[in-house]
Amino acid sequence: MTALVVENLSLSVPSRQILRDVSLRVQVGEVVGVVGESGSGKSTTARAVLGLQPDDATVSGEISVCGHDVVHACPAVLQEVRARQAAMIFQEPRRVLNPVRRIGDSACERLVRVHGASKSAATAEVSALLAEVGLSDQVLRRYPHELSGGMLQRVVIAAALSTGPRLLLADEATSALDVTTQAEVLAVLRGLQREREMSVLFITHDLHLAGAYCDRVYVMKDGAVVDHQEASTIFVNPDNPYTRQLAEAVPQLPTREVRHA
Amino acid sequence: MPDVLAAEGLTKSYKGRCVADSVSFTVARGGSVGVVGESGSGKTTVARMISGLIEPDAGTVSVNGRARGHDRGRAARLRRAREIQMVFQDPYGSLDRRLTVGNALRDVLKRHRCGKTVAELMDSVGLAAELESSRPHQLSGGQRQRVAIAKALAVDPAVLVLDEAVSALDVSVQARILALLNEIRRDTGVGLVFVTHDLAVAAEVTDTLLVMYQGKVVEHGDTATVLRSPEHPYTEMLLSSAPGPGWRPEQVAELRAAFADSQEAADA
Repeated sequence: MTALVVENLSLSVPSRQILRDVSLRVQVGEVVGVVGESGSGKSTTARAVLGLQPDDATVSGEISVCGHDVVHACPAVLQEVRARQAAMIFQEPRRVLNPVRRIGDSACERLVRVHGASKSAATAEVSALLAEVGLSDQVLRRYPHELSGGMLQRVVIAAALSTGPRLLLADEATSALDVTTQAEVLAVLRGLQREREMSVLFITHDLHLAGAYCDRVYVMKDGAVVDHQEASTIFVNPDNPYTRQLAEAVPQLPTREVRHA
Repeated sequence: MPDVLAAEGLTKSYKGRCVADSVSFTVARGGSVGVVGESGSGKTTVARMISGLIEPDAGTVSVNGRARGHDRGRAARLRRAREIQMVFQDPYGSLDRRLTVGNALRDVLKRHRCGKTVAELMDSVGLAAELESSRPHQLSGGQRQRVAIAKALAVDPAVLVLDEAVSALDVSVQARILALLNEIRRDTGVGLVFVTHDLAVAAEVTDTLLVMYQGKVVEHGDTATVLRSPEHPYTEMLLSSAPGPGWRPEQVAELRAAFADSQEAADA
């Protein structure tokens, strides 16, 4: 079964059309990138997968998450998708975690409130995941302001994975982190993703990051998919003019001299 | 030519932890110095000590050869504002959401009695004249950052301190703002202190580079030379962390951990 199928998705609000005929697929265990500039519709696409479009939006086309139709779903099916099939992580973990509650309360919330787990079972599950992302369960008693951005993003990943989703939607999840912390968080995420055969829709404005981290990459512009290719080809002079333009806009480091040890 | 900015031995500790250890550098007229490092390296603390938002524990900052004073009162405060201006990552923080672009700029010009017009100022940062009546939320991220830069340039500062000023922008917008900054420093002679975590961005807009790790400057030299043949293992590690062909996050994470261990061993 395909983890995510988006077929001819169009979405408009009264003032304008946001998405035009977007089609993309994520196979089980695959990491698929969606790259585009602000306003290209990449986040809107990810949110639509969870049925989180604006209230006044008209949606046409098909979205299927692990075989569940999202576009025509009744509230119960939508809840099932959001609770068990898919999870989403965002750029800014501080906006997801309540600043006046202990991290443990926020991280266990999904398991306790949605899945009806006991507090102690939820804490045990989240602690195990925290260990996998390299954090001690001490952080459960801390408040968000006491942790760095990289630590908080790992907490958010652990909380998102606690309900065992088949599909993870990562919307600029590492864009606020510096390169080394980004690599640490992504290494952790890749490990968990492989172990669980989870599928990831990886949304980023960073073409090089998508090229290096994902299996396949879709490029979006003005609400439409304009290019789709194997990630490795991003670095070898892409055919599509817009993809090439994006690739060329990325500031380049000067070529390094080979050091003799 | 005298330096527009000289920072000498800037030091700052919080709760006994040194976040900036004796940081010194100079910026020539029209020159640009980059301060790079990871989060927590102390680069923002340095930027804030330069602009006077944080009082250093030790060290001095002088502009055009004159130490920055502590004199109280409106005149002294305005004079200090004309020496150094700052631009931040999120322009929303420095723009009043109720003021139109024109009024925001007019305010600054009036307060400092500058002989410039709003139209000249907007033109100098490449903002279309019809945006004068727009409010911040009606602008794109790149336009908002141009307004923030225009506001900072209104007073003809000697030095502009930019703290992750292009980090939140799309690459194509980022490229245009970087080109604008290079043009401005060439035309007006303003000196730039450019704080960023992105080495490739620093390569585009700076002449000299300071690499900071845990409050210390570990490398300081000509930007192109530092990036092409880094001397310090930390710079080397930062350079190999950027995503590119063959990039493996696991490998970067290992390098990072190995480097932290080696530093701890050296400190012990």
